[in-house]
Amino acid sequence: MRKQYVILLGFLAFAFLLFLLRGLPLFNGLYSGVQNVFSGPKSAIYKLKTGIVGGENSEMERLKKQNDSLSKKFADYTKTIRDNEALRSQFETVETSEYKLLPAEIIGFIGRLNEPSEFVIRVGKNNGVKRGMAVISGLDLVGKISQVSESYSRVVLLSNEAFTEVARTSENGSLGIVTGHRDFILLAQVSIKDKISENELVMTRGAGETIDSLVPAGLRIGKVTSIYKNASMPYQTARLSSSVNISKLETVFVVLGF
Amino acid sequence: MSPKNIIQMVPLILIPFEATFFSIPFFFITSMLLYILKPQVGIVLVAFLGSIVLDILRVMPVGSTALALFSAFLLVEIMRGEVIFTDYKLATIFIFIASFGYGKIFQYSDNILIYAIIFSSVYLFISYFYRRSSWLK
Repeated sequence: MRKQYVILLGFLAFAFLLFLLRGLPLFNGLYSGVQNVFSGPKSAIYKLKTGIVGGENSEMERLKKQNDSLSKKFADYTKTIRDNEALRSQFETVETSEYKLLPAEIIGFIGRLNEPSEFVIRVGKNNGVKRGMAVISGLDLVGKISQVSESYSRVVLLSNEAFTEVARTSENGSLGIVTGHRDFILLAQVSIKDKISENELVMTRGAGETIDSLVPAGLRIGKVTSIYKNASMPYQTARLSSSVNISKLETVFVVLGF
Repeated sequence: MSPKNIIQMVPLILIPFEATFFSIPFFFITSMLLYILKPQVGIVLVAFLGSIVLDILRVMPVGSTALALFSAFLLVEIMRGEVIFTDYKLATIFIFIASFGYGKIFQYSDNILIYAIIFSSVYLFISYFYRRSSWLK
């Protein structure tokens, strides 16, 4: 009995030491090695789960073309938004930006089977990914990077309770904060004086004078499905639905720069 | 490779599946089950290595699963020899509570019905297969 205690306490102490020292560059090779070894099997298992079968080379070619096309569309779209904002305000200057997108394969998820709360993607620090970066599919925001390791990253999805982002409505320009609530997405802290309409699109607000964000403006978060308004309260809220089908996603794009 | 060694490797085989799409902590459950039935150094070693690999693949703080698992092992060891683990029903309830708690903290599914179904199967395994087979003895 005593020997068993010693063994267990020894392993427990070693695990604690590893937990404390996990951030040391010494272990980067180990993390990278393990993640690279398991990347192939995880990718295959995840593809089985989503029911998608295809050749890797042709899939990569298709994704590269899609990446190029999306990068251009994304730049044109956000420039149009900024042009409109500039015309409205008459004081802003508009800069043309190129958005740097990194394609990332989804190789796992965390949370419930039918409603995952996070994705694990096959890019990490080695690819220039940083915490807080936006992850998109088309022009839709899928989530934000929450954890980064050498070759993998975790993406917190819109429905995750840890997700928050400043947003504005597309038609009325009302500002609010989008938060995840497991089964739905909520646009909260919208001033009672601002107008929100049903079926109105909600987009990311992006960085501003007082907001430091790695998420660019103009990404689609969702559509307003219902509004909760009480004239005696200073704020109103709205429930949103995302147009992204999470269960069918296989590849997403990380916005590295804008 | 003997059947005993194959069964000891089951937690490791489950790791790529659990790190990809399982929403139940099967690695934790199988490690606990094997440790309660056969507290050998081989199982302890597999559990430690597997928990490190699982943390790396799930992009969790490395060592966190090992801390949780070995704390549970230590609790098993403290309680072993007392009344609780001579009765397999109580052992199953202990694993159920431990894995549900672990699942809640480490962002697995918190659907209690799924856990109840799994643990009914675990209990049947312990009650019938273990007692009637010499593989694990």
